[in-house]
Amino acid sequence: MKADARARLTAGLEMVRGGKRMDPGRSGLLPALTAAMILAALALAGRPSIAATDPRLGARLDPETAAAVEAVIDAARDKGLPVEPLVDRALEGGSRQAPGPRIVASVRSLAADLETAREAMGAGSSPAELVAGAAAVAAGVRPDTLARLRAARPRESVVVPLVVLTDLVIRRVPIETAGAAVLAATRAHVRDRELMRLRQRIDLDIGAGAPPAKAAIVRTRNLIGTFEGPASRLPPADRPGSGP
Amino acid sequence: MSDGRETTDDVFAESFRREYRRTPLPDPGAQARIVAAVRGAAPPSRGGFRLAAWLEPRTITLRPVVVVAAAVALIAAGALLARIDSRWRLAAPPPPTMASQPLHAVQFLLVAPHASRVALVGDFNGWDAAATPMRRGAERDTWMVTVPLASGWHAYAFVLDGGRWIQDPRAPLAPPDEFGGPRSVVVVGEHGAGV
Repeated sequence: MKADARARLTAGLEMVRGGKRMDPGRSGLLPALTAAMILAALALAGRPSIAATDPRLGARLDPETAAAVEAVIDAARDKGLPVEPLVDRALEGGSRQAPGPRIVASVRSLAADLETAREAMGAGSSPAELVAGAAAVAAGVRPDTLARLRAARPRESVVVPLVVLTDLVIRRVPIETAGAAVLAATRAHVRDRELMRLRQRIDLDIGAGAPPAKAAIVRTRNLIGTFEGPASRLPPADRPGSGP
Repeated sequence: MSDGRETTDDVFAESFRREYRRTPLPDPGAQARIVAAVRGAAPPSRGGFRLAAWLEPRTITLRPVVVVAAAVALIAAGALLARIDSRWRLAAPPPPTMASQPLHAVQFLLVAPHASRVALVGDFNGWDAAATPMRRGAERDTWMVTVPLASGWHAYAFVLDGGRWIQDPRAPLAPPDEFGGPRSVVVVGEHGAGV
């Protein structure tokens, strides 16, 4: 006891005299070390590891690309977007042996298109509708055209109209003409099977040498009887979810 | 030796006491007032949550070994959480576009008389050229395969002779992606009529 009392007294005197000895726990080194280790632990916990990667991505992509894709997928999941199309896009890039940055860029682009499609068609749209809408957006279709299609079919799927619209745009039918044709057919309650036949006929006409815009106008008019084509005659955009 | 240290300590302590007694109080009645004020004050509260106690700066002394152990435990907990999160995600039910929906048998056909082998790739088989080989039909220039697909929108392509990707000439087109290859679309189930 005496020895302890002497040690405490000596330490106290040294502090009173301005001595340099201090409690290690009160120096600046230990808090800094503690903070650094806590930060390192948090960083390790938050870092996307290989174990956290979808096994399909890990099997097809290099670790860096898989981690980057996973980050895009996580962000999409947080937004409530369907993520399986993003995985598929990454797998497609891996299968085609595309460079990692291109794969990541493609997945990111698809996520943005999915979000655009959802904003245009409403949060109640099915995953298939969102994927078809994203494809249409990627082809150059304007989001307001997607909103008009949704308004024309508030309670039925718009997957087939979107597929037909995208196909026509890719086959060089002007975007506004293609949008007007599909929208007019949809508003005329043309069924999906007939829409698919319309696409086939326009494709055959284009393959036979007809101008794409004229093929679309003529075939659509033959189907619904009144269509003349120009996009300027589009009806005003209806709000998603409202009646046709 | 021990007696000598104790003697030195006693002398040192006595010098402290002597200095204390020699220090005069500025006000002779101060001691009495302080004692009376302390006795009259309410005792400090020990129960309940005091926010001020959590906001006051204070020095905490930790043993280095405790700090290292806490950091190691934190890292282990983080890694465990990441693993649990990973397993939860992998075990999460697939989206409605996947196999949770009823499947529909869809037949794919391709006329490719000069191909020695043809495979079907798409979002339904992970774009794996080895997953779905097509077989020659009765007519030697026709290749075919039937696969079960969930309802919805599916992109696909054909791979000729292990390396050449082509679109389905009979099907709607999907926009080309950043990988440069052609893609076709099939709509299955309630969404459309299929191929």
